[in-house]
Amino acid sequence: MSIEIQNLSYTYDPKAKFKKIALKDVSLSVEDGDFLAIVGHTGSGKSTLVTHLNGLTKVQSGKIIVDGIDLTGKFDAKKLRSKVGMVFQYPEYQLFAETVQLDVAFGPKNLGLDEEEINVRVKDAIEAVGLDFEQIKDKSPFELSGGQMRRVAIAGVIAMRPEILVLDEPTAGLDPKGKRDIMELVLSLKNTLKTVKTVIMISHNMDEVARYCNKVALLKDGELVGVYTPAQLFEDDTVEKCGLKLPTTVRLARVLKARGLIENDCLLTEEEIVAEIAKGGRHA
Amino acid sequence: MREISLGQYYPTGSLIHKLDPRTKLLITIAYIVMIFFIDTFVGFGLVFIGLMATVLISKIPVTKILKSLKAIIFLLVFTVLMTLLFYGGDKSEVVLSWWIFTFYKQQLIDCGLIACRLFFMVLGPTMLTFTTTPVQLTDGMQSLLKPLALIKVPVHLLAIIMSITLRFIPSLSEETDKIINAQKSRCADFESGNIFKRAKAMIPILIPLLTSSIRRAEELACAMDSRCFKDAKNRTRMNKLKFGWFDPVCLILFCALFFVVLWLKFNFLPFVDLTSLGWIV
Amino acid sequence: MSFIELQDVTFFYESDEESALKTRPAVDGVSFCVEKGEVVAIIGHNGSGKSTLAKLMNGLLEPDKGEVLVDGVSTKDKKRIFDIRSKVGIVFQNPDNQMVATIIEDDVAFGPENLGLDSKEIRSRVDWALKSVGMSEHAKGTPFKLSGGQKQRIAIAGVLALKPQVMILDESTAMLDPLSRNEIMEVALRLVREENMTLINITHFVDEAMEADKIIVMNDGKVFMQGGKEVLLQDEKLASIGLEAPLAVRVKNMLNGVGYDLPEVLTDEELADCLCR
Repeated sequence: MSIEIQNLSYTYDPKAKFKKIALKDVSLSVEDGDFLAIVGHTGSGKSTLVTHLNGLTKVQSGKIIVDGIDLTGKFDAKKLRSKVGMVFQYPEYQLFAETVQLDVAFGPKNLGLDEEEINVRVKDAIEAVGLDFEQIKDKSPFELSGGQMRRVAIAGVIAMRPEILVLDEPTAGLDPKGKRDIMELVLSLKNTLKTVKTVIMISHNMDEVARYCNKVALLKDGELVGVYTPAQLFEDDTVEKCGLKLPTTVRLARVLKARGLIENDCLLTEEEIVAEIAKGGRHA
Repeated sequence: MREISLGQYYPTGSLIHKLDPRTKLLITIAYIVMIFFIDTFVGFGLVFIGLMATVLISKIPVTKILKSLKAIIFLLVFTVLMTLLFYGGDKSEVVLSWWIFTFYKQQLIDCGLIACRLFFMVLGPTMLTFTTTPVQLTDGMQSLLKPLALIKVPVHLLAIIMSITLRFIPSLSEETDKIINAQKSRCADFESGNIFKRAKAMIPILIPLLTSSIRRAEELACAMDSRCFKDAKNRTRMNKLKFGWFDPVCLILFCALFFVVLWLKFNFLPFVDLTSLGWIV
Repeated sequence: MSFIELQDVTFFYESDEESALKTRPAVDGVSFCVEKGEVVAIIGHNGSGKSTLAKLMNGLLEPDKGEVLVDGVSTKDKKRIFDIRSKVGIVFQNPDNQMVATIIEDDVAFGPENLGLDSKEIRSRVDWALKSVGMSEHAKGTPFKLSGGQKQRIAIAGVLALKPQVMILDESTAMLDPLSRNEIMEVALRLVREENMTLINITHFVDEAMEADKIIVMNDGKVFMQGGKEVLLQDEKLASIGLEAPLAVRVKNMLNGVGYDLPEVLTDEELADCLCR
């Protein structure tokens, strides 16, 4: 279940006088089990890149192969979209049905599954996002809290049993606890659900990227600057040059290193910082 | 869709662009009335000269204007064909006879006049929208309709509603794209099936769009209230509409043109008798 | 006397008496003061009642119990409500939903036009407001093509044109990327310095609260904690209501948990300082 992107370019309104280049010659591969972050300044082409992955944006030039499906020519959109689940920004704004159960069932129904299978999937999906199925299934999605609505929307995608889960800023607009809960949820979906093998996430929050991802693709003005591990990415000032901020942990670690308190400054979580300071052993 | 708030406004900063929107609105309305009075090629010739002058002063590329006329080509061809095929007028003078078709002189003249009328009818308002932003148009209309406020028509409120509508069309169209993409990702199918099935397939788009419009409206109302919005009536404006020197010039020139057109139609001047100049008609 | 004073304010969203008894009030017996020239942060998780406070402070909502006084005038005084609103401006969360016009300068002019000022005065206010937020060159443009940060600066200009004494940022940075967030905070803090503005920042970003003179922590409609920066040192208490203390505070507490004995610190530098000692 791998994704192969080769020399992908995309231009908005190619006929217009002032064409806007969204992607330029991007090549990238994503493997099974990856938790890939796509980062970049606003307008760097992140969204255009991910909407290619389930065929919402047609390939203009270059090549994309998702699990053997070539997206360059004609392909089975339904089959592709059941493999690549897409959770958009503020996904709670796409809810529409009278009850939570019906809304989550929308995707599986469109896949043409039989009723029994749909019911199983809906129940599994709602439970997978940490909600109580019996308690919530008959409620209107519009009477839920913001956080619950977002979970229901994610369940609507999970119910299609995608192997690749793509999320566009899943924590946007949430408070610190809400952010952490959603990230832990995404991680648990990846680790506990047999179906979701790969997660691709657009994020502006470098703390999340540092803590949860194993690979980061950095975009700038539609071009791929590089693919890194978080540790490599935050080693120097590459991210800052691309209009992004360093994770708070790395910023603290750099201050500590400048004072000679620690040796390594590429620390991605607070636990790592504590361990690194303790290694110095001055006070212990 | 996204460009609708600017209409087809084409900024060049010309004298025509700087005209008071009220002048342009009045002239355009009178212009449409005038077109109906014209039934000679000489009349259309005069209008053509006037319009060409306007186009030249406005500095809008002619190709741009012709492109905007593309939409009416079908209508134009259709009307002309209809006149040619189902002609019931004066059949005294045959110009051309070929196979089963016979063309009469008056028939060809009528055809030409209808084509001209359609062409000029579209071209006038097109020039208005090319040189005036929708906001200016709204302001102009509001000012011209002021007398209606006397009979309790809420002109100011209508103007504000209009401008907010223009403001939100791009946001809502963007939102629609997003929702369509989100539902497509859940394998929603908007393209197949009969009309009822397709209408039903729109529900997952319409409901989120509706709830988001309500949410936006609530937030906007809050923002407007907190920026001291009381009522539409007692507001002042930053940009007051102002007549410049070019406004009276245009109005006078247009009145002169209208006068000539009326004269061509009704032949009311005592000292020159148009019927003696047979070539005009 | 304080510029804004909340006295035991309670507010229910359900106006119906009966259901009001059943539902929890959005704001529940809240009292605090805001002095002129102060930077105040109101923090709390989503749904803690902090945005309701913003609307109470400029009379968009009226308290069911208690009193909100702005410059000595109660927000219940219907005759002076526009006076209050022009003194206390709010910048809301979603930049797209607070713009009324298609042209940027027309949008900024909306407030002063409502006040019924003459066109010269409006023009000078609009020019000044756009200059203050660094958006003068976009005056004649449309807001659609701007970034979120730029749109939010226009929204600030729209509030500034009313010449308010207090500006409330009601989660105005929540939808922005980190750099745009910095941009907005810089503009707001510059206005405090240069225009002697009072700033009330309603947010759930603790790093923004670190810039404040006074911090009010809301939870379930009540004031949970209130005070100076020392409020942010309460790692466990903040975590218990879904907030997060600054990283330096969390790391310090974790270190103390493994045998260190470090004093209170707030910033990265302070942590480094006391680790050096």
